[in-house]
Amino acid sequence: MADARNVIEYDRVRKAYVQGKAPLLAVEEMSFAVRDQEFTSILGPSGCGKSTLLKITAGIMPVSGGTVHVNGRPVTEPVSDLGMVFQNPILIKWRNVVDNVLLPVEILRHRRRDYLDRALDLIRLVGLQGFEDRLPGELSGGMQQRVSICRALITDPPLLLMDEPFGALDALTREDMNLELLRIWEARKKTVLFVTHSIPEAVFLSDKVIVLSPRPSRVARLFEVEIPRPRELSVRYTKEFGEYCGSIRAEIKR
Amino acid sequence: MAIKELERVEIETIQGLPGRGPGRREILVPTATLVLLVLAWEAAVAAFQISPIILPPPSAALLFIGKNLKLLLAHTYATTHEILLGFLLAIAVGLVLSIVMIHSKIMSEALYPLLVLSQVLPKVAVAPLLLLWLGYGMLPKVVIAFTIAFFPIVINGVSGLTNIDPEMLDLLKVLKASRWQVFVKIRIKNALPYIFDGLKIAITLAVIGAIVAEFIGGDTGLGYLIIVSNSTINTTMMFAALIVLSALGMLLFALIMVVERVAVPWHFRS
Ligand SMILES: Nc1ncnc2c1ncn2[C@@H]1O[C@H](COP(=O)(O)OP(=O)(O)OP(=O)(O)O)[C@@H](O)[C@H]1O
Ligand SMILES: [Mg+2]
Repeated sequence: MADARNVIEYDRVRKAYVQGKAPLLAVEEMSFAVRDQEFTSILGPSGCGKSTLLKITAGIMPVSGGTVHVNGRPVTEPVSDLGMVFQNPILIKWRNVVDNVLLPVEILRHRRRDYLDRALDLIRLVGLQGFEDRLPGELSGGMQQRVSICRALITDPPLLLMDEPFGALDALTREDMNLELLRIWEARKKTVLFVTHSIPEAVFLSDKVIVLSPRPSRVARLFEVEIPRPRELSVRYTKEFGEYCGSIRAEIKR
Repeated sequence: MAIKELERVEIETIQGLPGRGPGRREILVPTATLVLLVLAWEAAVAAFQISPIILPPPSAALLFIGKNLKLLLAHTYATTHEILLGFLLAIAVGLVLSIVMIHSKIMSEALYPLLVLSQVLPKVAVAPLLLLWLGYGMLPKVVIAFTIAFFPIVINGVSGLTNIDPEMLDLLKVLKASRWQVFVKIRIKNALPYIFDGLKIAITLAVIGAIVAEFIGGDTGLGYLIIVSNSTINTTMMFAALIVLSALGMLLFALIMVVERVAVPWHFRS
């Protein structure tokens, strides 16, 4: 472990899916680091291994080569104190919204009522007030996704892995969610690793944007976004913002 | 104001659609079909002057039921008793077996072929042996109903306990859920809709099991009544017994559906 400020460190990570005869190389060689309280976004073509990388980071999928360190320890089992938003909402269909949000609390065997207010606050924050008692089957895809974000935030984990969390949202809701996420990130001093397909979203949110090559993926290029914070939505119409987007766009191949 | 009203009406109709039990149409259509079939039967017997020994008119069978209600009820009670005991035993054993099988690969490998063997063996062929061992009372009938009914419960139980979305399992790994927590919070409820499907098959099999056992030995039950009608060439009584038996089977099936609606409401919403 080179640098104590690194919360995540990837060292020549490689991932091949073995399935039948021919293994499929998803990640060829990935090396980069995520610093404490840094907001890092990952951009890359579909199928290049972004979700794979997040699952490896969470310790729920083994690497085929190389090492990952989280909080200074090599990842060999599911990492503690981590919030994860999967690409799909993965809600429990017989639990209503509140009970889905409180699932991590139950698993940790904490007292439910200590977290109930926080759950209701989060639900209001993502604009789902009035739907607390609804079952997932009664929600739209974007609403389900927001429930899964609340679930990842309920225990206030210092490290957040988010896999296209706003992918199913309309543009306006997405902007609101971006602002809320930044607010939470700044207030609670979190480290965030954020996968997205939206270049402006990545630039708006991040300190660092990592662009991956097509599969088998490597880091194509790393961009440091030096737009001052706190950022307002209006920052997206500045020349500087446009330039970041342009140079990132030029780096993404298909 | 008007818009509020509209909205409420809309919400009510949407919520009223699934999950509220069968609607008026779902009851009307099959009832009408049944009535039509019975009327056609009655008409056909009259029109073609079919002998009541071959095919009595439904009116005669119903009349027989009305006149011999006490007798029929006594036999129905005996059969129902056997069916329910066999069915409950099948639920208990079926659920325990499916839990054992998902918890241990070795147990699963050891038990699965035996379960299949127990099913490919025709119960009718084994029934005489069971009667020889267990006597001619209620016990062999319960046992036969049970052996034939537990299989779909085990199979569906195993499917329901194991068919979990792999991503859900990923989520639970991230949350560091224990095996016990996964079982209690996810597997059991995930299995319920599958188990209810198994129960619906099992109850019809339990009916078959009890009747077959009554055919082979004993002196009570609707199966026994059918055998007696056959040897005395009392076709009307036979049809009366068959009608009561069908009604019993439908009633038991409907009961399971009612319990299902209460136990797995999420399965009927959305
Ligand atoms: N469980 C699996 N078994 C076999 N191959 C897999 C599995 N999961 C992913 N892959 C393969 O690995 C590659 C990377 O998949 P991954 O889901 O990580 O991509 P992604 O970058 O998240 O794509 P997207 O942007 O579409 O979500 C893909 O080519 C995919 O086919
Ligand atoms: Mg993905």
